[in-house]
Amino acid sequence: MTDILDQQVTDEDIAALQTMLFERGIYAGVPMPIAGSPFVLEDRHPHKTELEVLSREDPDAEPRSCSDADVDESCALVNRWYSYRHQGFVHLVKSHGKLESFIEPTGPGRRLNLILETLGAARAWDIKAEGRALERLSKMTNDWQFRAYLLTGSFLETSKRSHVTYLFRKVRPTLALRPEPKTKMMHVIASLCLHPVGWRDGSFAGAMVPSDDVIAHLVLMRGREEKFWARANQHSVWEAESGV
Amino acid sequence: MGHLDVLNCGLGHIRLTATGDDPIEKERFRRCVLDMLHRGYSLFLEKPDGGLIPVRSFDAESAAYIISDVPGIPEEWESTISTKEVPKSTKGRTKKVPADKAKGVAIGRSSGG
Repeated sequence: MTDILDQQVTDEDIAALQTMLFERGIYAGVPMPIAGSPFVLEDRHPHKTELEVLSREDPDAEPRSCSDADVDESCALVNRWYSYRHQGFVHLVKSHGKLESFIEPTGPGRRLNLILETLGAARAWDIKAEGRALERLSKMTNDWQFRAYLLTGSFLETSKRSHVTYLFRKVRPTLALRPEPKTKMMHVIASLCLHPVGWRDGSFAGAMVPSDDVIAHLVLMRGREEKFWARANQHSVWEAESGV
Repeated sequence: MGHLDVLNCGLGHIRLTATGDDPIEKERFRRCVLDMLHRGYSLFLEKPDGGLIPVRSFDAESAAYIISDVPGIPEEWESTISTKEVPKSTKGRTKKVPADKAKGVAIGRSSGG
């Protein structure tokens, strides 16, 4: 049973809904809305607005469109950089002629929030769907890769095209790695975050079950690597959203 | 047996089969594949060695995927249909792969993250 916005629904209900949506052209389905876990859908989803409103805490709140009148010309961002000492982004802002700064933390608190929100989002996932995804993933990977995935939630694969090594991870962005030319030590080029259909705001969770997200990353990397990079959000390793 | 697995939020994946004698099922397959490509889904065909080839378009009349003519295409995919019949809109050398000979996977449009 899953609590969809505090209504108890069975797995059979969800399966029937997704099947009905498939016949109506929503082939990838929709994420199940759960209370307190708003999601963001891809731009061309036919029911993007309605579903995103439904997933918000106050579905009666009207979405607000910003206009030029909302812009405060007296306040402008001058610069922004990451500070390892403060474990966060330092923002330099010019407000009414005066320079001010503030720190946007990306340290343990922010990372813990992401992890806990992801845990909450797991209510929307069907365990049988995850089982089917695991079975599919087992046919797409070799024995060691699948074993590593089952035991550690991650596995490696090097692209034959670009020779970039990818660390695919369950419920975390995929890390793109490359050896340093001089030291030959692997370093992270980028953390690639991509979710088919949509994702849960403030978490690592996607609309699909975790292993289906991994399959999507693996398929895109093997099939159209440049498209994988173009579509993914590329996080730097020091950002909390990188999952590192 | 040719089929296409469409990754789905609630069901893991839904399988569309391209083989069989049921004309309704065949027509459903063609309609769904064309619609998915139109909606921006990414379709890939699986090679026996695990490699993947992206699908560029779909010929509903002959129920064949149109892919780029790249090295390493399996022999069992070789279609009897001439490549001259490929629609003029597709650029570059292409090949047709009958849908009932290939296994594929379809992924919906992504939203970053």
